[in-house]
Amino acid sequence: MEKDKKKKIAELAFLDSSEEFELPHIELCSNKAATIEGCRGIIEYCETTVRINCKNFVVKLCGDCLGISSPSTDTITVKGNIVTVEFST
Amino acid sequence: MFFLKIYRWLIGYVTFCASGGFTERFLNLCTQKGIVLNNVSINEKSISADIRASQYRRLRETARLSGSKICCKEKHGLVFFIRRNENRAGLAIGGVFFVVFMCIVSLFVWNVETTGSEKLSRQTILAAAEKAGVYPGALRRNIDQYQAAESIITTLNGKLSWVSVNIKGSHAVVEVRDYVARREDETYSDPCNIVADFDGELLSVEVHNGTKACPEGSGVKKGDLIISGIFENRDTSCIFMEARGIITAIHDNDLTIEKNLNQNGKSFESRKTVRKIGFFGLSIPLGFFPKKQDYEQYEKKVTLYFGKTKLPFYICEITRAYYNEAADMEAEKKYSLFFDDFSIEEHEKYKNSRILNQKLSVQEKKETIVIKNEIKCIDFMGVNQKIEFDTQNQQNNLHKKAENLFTN
Repeated sequence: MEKDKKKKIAELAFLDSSEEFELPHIELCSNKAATIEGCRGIIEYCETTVRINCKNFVVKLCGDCLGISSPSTDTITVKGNIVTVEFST
Repeated sequence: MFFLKIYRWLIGYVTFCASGGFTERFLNLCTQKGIVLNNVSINEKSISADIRASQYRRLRETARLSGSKICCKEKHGLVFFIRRNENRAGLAIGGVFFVVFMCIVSLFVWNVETTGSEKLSRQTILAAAEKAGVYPGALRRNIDQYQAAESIITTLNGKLSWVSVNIKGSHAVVEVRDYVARREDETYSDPCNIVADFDGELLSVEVHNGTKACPEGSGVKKGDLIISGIFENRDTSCIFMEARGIITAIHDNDLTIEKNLNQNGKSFESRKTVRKIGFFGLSIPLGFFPKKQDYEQYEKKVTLYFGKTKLPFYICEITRAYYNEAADMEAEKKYSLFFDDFSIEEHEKYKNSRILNQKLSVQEKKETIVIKNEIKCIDFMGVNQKIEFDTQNQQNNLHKKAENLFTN
């Protein structure tokens, strides 16, 4: 039953499958801000690099004057001049 | 973002600094414990962030676990502001009074502006608006915009074609449109010619409607035909129309002024300035003028602004220059006064002309002085002259012809 519900909601949200709900979501606003939903913590943080642990991979954001805000437990917003976004397992 | 900032300011927040230990662990522990951090920034030695004032105490444990030391840098928000100014009751009372004052004052019209009129002065329109109940200090809810607009139109009967009264916040704007009467020339729907209205030499003749009767460069006398309203077709038939065009001509247009030398002018005696403070329609003078008859008055009004908003307070500076009738004026002064009058008249007369050359001569007689300016200038020429048909004569001729036919 729960799976059916998830499927229906996924259809309504134009997502291919209900599994996409559980995957982390990354939203970029130009190169000034990146919001990562569904993350599990910060691995590395300095002025030029932020490495964030997501479920199956690690996101590495490089740039200048990087700052962090965490509005909720599983969401992190990185602000600053983002130059590169890298993914690694 | 703006509302978020206001919300944070209302609930109060603290900017703190965490140094030493493991920065990442500190941040992760905060996230796990549900401590919301904002504006986290890092430098070589420490990190700084904003936290809700109520959550700041919870940071101690996190700091201990991550081996960091925290210290409060700044406190922001309403709670801290009130705590800081606890002993200043006057400030709070002043704030309350200010809010109440603003609430009361915003019920009234602060100022009235006028737009859209080129012919009528601002004062005339404002006087009409005041009659209609739109003036600084009037209660906003008592103003019926449609009725006020109608009242202004009635007061300035025939001078305005459209009026609208708009109230934007505490500002009333009276928008008007001048009444534009039809030009007398335009009333000519009947066939007419354009004839010269003064003697001169034609410079340009631009025909819009009709037939050119005089070429450029030719001299014309007053009343001479320049553009004819009769158009001849190829089959010799004629069309009568209203002649239209733009004609310019060069002509001599002299200006002569004769003044009596015995006439005495006025001499300046003293000047006094009095300031007035105004609030809505009420004005309080800060001084008095001496009771004298002959004076000229100048006003300078400075309205207070808050940013771009016009406030209902103003300071008015009234200056009165008092004059005496000069018993015996120096000749030089008299001449300068005469020349002043002459230049004013000259400006009035030639404001629409282009002056090519001029020759000024001053002639002094026994008791008078004659200033003469011989001017050659370019002016617009031409007045409409109706084409008249002698219909009665034509009818008589037709009758005679018919009689002749019958008798033969």
